[in-house]
Amino acid sequence: MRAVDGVTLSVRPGEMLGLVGESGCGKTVTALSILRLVPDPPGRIVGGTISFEGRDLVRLPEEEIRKIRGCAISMIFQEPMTSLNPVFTVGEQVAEGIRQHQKVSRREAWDQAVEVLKRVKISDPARRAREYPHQLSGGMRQRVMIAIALALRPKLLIADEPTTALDVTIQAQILELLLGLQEEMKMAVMLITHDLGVIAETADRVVVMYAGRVVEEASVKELFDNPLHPYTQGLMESLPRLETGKARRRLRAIPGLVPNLLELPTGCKFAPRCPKVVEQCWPTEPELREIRPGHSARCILAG
Amino acid sequence: MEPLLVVKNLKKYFPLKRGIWFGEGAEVRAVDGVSFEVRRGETMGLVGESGCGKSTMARLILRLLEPTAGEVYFGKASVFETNKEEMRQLRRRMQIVFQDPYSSLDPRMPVDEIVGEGLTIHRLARGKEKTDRVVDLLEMVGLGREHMGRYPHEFSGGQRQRIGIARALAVGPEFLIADEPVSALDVSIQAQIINLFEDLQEQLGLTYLFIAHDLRVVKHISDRVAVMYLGQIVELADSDELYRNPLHPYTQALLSAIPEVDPQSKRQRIFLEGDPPSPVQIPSGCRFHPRCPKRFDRCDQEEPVLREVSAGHWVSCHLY
Amino acid sequence: MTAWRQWHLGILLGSVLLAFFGLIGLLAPLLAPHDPYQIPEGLQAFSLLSPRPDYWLGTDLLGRDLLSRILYGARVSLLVGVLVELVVTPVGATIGLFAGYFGGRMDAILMRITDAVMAFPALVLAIALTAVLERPGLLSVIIVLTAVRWTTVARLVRGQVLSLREAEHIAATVVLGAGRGRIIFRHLLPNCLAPILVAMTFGVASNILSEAGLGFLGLGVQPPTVSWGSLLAEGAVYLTVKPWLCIFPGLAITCTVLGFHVLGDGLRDILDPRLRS
Repeated sequence: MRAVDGVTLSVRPGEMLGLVGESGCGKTVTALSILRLVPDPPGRIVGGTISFEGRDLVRLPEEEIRKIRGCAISMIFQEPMTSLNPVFTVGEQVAEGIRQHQKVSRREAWDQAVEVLKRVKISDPARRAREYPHQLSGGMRQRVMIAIALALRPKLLIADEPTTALDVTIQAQILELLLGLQEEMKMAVMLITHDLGVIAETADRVVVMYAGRVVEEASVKELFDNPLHPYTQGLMESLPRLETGKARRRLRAIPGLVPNLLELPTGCKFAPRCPKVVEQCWPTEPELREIRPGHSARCILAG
Repeated sequence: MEPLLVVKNLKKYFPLKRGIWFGEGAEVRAVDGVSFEVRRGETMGLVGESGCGKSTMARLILRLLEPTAGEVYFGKASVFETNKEEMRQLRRRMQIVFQDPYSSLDPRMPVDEIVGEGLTIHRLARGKEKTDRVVDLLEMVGLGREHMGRYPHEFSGGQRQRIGIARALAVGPEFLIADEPVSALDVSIQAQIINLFEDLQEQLGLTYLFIAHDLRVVKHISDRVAVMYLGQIVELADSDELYRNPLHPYTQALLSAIPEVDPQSKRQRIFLEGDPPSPVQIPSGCRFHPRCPKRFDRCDQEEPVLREVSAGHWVSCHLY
Repeated sequence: MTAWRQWHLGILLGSVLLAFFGLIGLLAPLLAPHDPYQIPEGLQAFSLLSPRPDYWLGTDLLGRDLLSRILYGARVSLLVGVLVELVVTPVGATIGLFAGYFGGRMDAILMRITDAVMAFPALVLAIALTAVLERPGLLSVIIVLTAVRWTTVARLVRGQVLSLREAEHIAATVVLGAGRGRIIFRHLLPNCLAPILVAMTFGVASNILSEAGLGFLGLGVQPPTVSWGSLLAEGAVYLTVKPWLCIFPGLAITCTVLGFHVLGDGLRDILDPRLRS
């Protein structure tokens, strides 16, 4: 099964890149591959390069990649409940990450941990550091996860659906926090989500994935003003709008099912669900082409 | 319009811990004095964040749970006072579609048995007639005869939700509770299911109670919307009115927290402090006051009541 | 892909092993080269023979052919194992189903009884029963094992039902208007069958081991009846000088138990509807 097939993307220093797509589109596998966290077996990176500050992460020995993980590149996950170890205090868990990469005393690591908890806007961090994960709310846990990820001031943070499990009011807090920290620490962030709203509010540039491929890439303004790929267009139109006054309009749903990666068509992978499909879509898969400066799409009809 | 469903001062407290020997344990006030009506043929939306009691509401209305206090009237019947046989008859008229497309279908039953179960229970059809009915129902929700013998695990999330809808429709209900029916689905599939709900309402004249945490979805599908916070309704109004003119500070914050699908829009965002308190330790006075940006001295003293401040617009807040 | 091959192998290996021992037991009178009970004339010449062409596995103190005795022993061991499980499963399942479905006081009472039985040493029960029945035998073994073994199934089924009871498909069925009978027999029970079946295979294995243990202590079946357990007990005396008297019955027990376990693992895999298609 090809979970991710020929994905090319780049994150620039200090940039917020949004990676958007539905379940099974390969966005998480792409992210895990960057840190070589795809379990092998069954997963294997069969080709390609991941270049980070001039080094190819795919070919780096395991020890080197371990030094990069959690230090230069770190990651936060969707489920703040299961990502924390229930038997250690949150302070210990933040400090542990620090001690793994820096030669500091237990005391110093703890002080640093409290400092980081303060930076993610946890109130009364010295007291919170001594609490266990189950004593914290979901939003608070996600802040702790962010603290762990940011303790060593990474250059790149990969955030995989960091707010999906949270309520809207908490989601807004966490996104605001991430944006503030990115600014403050000048780091690059790769934000993976299925929510176009989250993308619109946070990302600088957006990569849209479908069936393990990049189907469109553009700056956030360009993408929302002028989506080129029918899948991107479909995603936007299938979202209910909030504006009032208009009579209830039917949602324009994308027909069909989320693709099965074992039974993909030979040509364009979106063709079976595409409302604009033409005969040329079926025989060969279109290339990702730059249609305008900085805006590319994988569709023969684009441009 | 005559109400189809009337909920009156409904309460449900769950004992949290029974004292090992004796004595009062703490309790979770999941639903704490809720009253509203659902009119025949409308869609009533119920929104709120996790733990606000909206799913408990659904289970109470269907009498999957017995209430601590309060009444529910469906048509002329008082739901909690019906006997076993009356309840069985009542169940034909009110049905539910659940959130989780995985746990809501029996993994060991083929689709035709799942959909046909209601027909068997109420002896509505058997044999060939039953098969025909099941095919009709499957077609009504966008599936077909070819899906009959298959098992739930062979279907995607969206298709399972369709099966769940067909099962509910089999007994010919007037009223359908949809408890977060699309929140587990992908965006492109969500739209399909929402459209299906709307089509079915039109075809069958159904009345919906649509429960969700996604305000975009609720706004789209509902005629009226009730906002719940910690076991109570804090605001209730026509859908457009609520979104155009939210009165309760919680509703305002909730609305402003929805990410707008337009990178240009620069809305004023209201950030709430902290997290929703647990329904075990409910704050004094207005239960929203610890997080409320507009609180004043009265708020932690006195509990506000839900009042109609303009035609059809109800709010529970000392500001109005 | 690998998962498929694994269960194929498991079911195949388990079935072959069990079919082999089952047939051995069934056809023992036809297969046995010698009479398993008859003490031969001129005992000295036949006592404690090492394995040789006319006595493949050797003989015991009384000159009886070990192979024939193992073949006959299979009947008793398998009978005890399977019979106990067949009695215990419906009893335990019913208790577990009631406890899990009705919950509350019913659950508390049934589960405390279960705990009490589990905490009670089976060995003491066996000894006590031996005293009551005056002499141990096949019946006492079956009674002892039945009295203690239902608890495993009861606990398993209760756990299953407790988690199933919360599943939304059960709530949906209640809302459809289904009565208790339909919920229990059409929804709860079918969803428990696979784990019950798997537990049964492990249960049979465990019964065989328990029977062997009781037999070894002399609390099992009594001569002239033979079981693998009683063969072990007899052989243990000569463990250092004539080890095959223990090795071969032991091997039979090990292989059968292994067969049930491998089969159980295989069943667990294929009975999961998610792996079937």
